[in-house]
Amino acid sequence: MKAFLGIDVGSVTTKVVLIDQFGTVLWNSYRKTQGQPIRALQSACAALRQDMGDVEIGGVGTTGSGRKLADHVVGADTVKNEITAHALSAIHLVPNVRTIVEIGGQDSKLILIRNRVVTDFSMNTVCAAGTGSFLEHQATRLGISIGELGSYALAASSPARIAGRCTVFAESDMIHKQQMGHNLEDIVAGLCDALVRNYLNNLARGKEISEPVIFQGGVAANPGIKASFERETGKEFIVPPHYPIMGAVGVALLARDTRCTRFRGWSVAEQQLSTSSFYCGDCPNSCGVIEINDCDRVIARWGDSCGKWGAQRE
Amino acid sequence: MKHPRIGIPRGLLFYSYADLWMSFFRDLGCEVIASPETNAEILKEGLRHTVSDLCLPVKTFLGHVAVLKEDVDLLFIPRHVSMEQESYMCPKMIGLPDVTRACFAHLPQVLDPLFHVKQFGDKAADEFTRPIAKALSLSPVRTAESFRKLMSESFGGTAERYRQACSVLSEDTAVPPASKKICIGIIGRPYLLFDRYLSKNLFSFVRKLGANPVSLRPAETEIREAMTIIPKWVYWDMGKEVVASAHVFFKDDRIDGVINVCSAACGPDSFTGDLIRKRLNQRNKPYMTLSIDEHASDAGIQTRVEAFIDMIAKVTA
Repeated sequence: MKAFLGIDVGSVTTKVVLIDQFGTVLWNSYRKTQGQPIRALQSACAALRQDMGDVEIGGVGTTGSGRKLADHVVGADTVKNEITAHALSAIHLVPNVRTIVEIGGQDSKLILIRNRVVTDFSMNTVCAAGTGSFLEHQATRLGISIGELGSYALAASSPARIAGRCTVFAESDMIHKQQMGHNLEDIVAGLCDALVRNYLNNLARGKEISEPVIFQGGVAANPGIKASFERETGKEFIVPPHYPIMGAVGVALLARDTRCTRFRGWSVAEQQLSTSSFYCGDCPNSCGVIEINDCDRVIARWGDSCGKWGAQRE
Repeated sequence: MKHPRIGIPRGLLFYSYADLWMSFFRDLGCEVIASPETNAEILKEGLRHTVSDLCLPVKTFLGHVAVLKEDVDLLFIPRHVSMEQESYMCPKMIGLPDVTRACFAHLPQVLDPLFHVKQFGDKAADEFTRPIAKALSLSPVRTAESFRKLMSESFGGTAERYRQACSVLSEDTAVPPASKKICIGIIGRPYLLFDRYLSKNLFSFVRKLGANPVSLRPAETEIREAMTIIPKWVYWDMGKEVVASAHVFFKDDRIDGVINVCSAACGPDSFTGDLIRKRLNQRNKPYMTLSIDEHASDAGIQTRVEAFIDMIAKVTA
């Protein structure tokens, strides 16, 4: 039986899933990208092969900000933006879903759906104040692990009011609140409230959050954020079992339509891939061109706005 | 100066009046050069010479000044205040010659004629050309006539008609006849929309995704019609055109969705963007704002545009 591979290379984490033709998740991996997306992707593929053997792959989909890179590494049949990918998996799971709230490492999305069709969406702009990396940074500063944040938040009696519009201000405000004598639980709960307020102000302004609401992405692991959202909106936020890998599931679902896959095969896990980059000096735009090399052979190039380097790929 | 070399920075109103300005100076016997299309180097120069409160198009404009200033005798940076009665340019545009002078220590002579219909009415064109005639040692009457003649070639020739002399540069963006492809109406200020570097090649990207990008200059009647739907006459010049284009696209059955490209720090755009969303989109067509600043990555813009087109194509159905 053929299985389908879904890959979501995000800014902070890399997600790989294997699904069957019905969309059931057979295997999944969620690991830190740690600034080395190719290595993260290769080690996930190696782990998959170890656990599942040489599964026959019927199709591969990639998504996330590193979707093009992932395509060049593994050979993808469908390369999709994150918004469509997240919508696909949520609709597959809850066909009557009307709202998707997705918060990942560096970006957050709000997707509105009516009758299985996306009708509107918004994404945060360059500021990552309301995202996972913001939470992680603050957790580190407070000396607790990201996994513990939720239980601290739920134990709060009176959440501190923290400015969440900007990470720099949030941090100084948190220090101020600590020095005023607020306890850790109240500060952590205040942090969750700040993130939720930031999200609602930036993404949900003027948009209707109606039930069923699905809450997915890495930050959905934090029950403090879920509680804050529910308190603030008065709606129930459903966290699906596979909340951190929903983007990868979405592109895997899409890859089921593949007739003949471009998948390079399981050897991708062992290839000696390296990247290098250079600035093209042929015009004043001086684009940064990135190449992936398999030993001495350039297998892909991109980053040039005119496309002449990309076209040269072997 | 007998045959001075005049430089026009390729930014802001250049995208509206370039043809008219270039022909005007050539008819007066001057050599005119424009800076090249915006590129990374020009933007970098702009950011280097500017203060952070300015919007991206003004920063970019200053970059064009930077690359042009050494090669010309005169810099043409007109001060457009009002293009017709009850209509104003944004304050940054009104103060553009002053902003430019404040940001550079050494500049060639800046030619900054005033265009102000609200104050001068039908005499606006004469007031506009007077300092140009003086700087070039030409007859004021003949200079004004030359300018009026250019305007009247396609329009009535009155001062207010100057506003309509603008041409849309560089992109072929009419609605294609009987196309089965998705048509995306793209609205926004010309200096953002048609600056390919700032708008991240939006038109060709939409085309690459298999859809037709469409843009338009609304006619006077369309502007009036759009203004009757919203609670108040939009007095921002250009903002009014953006609102009217949105209205035309929302009405047109051939247009599947509308993208509003605006600059992140643009005051007028934040007003008109809200008006468009709340008051004009009565048929609830897919509508998206793409906000652009110097931090905006191509990837972020592309993700949004891809998702927008997927949404119209009902990919998830």
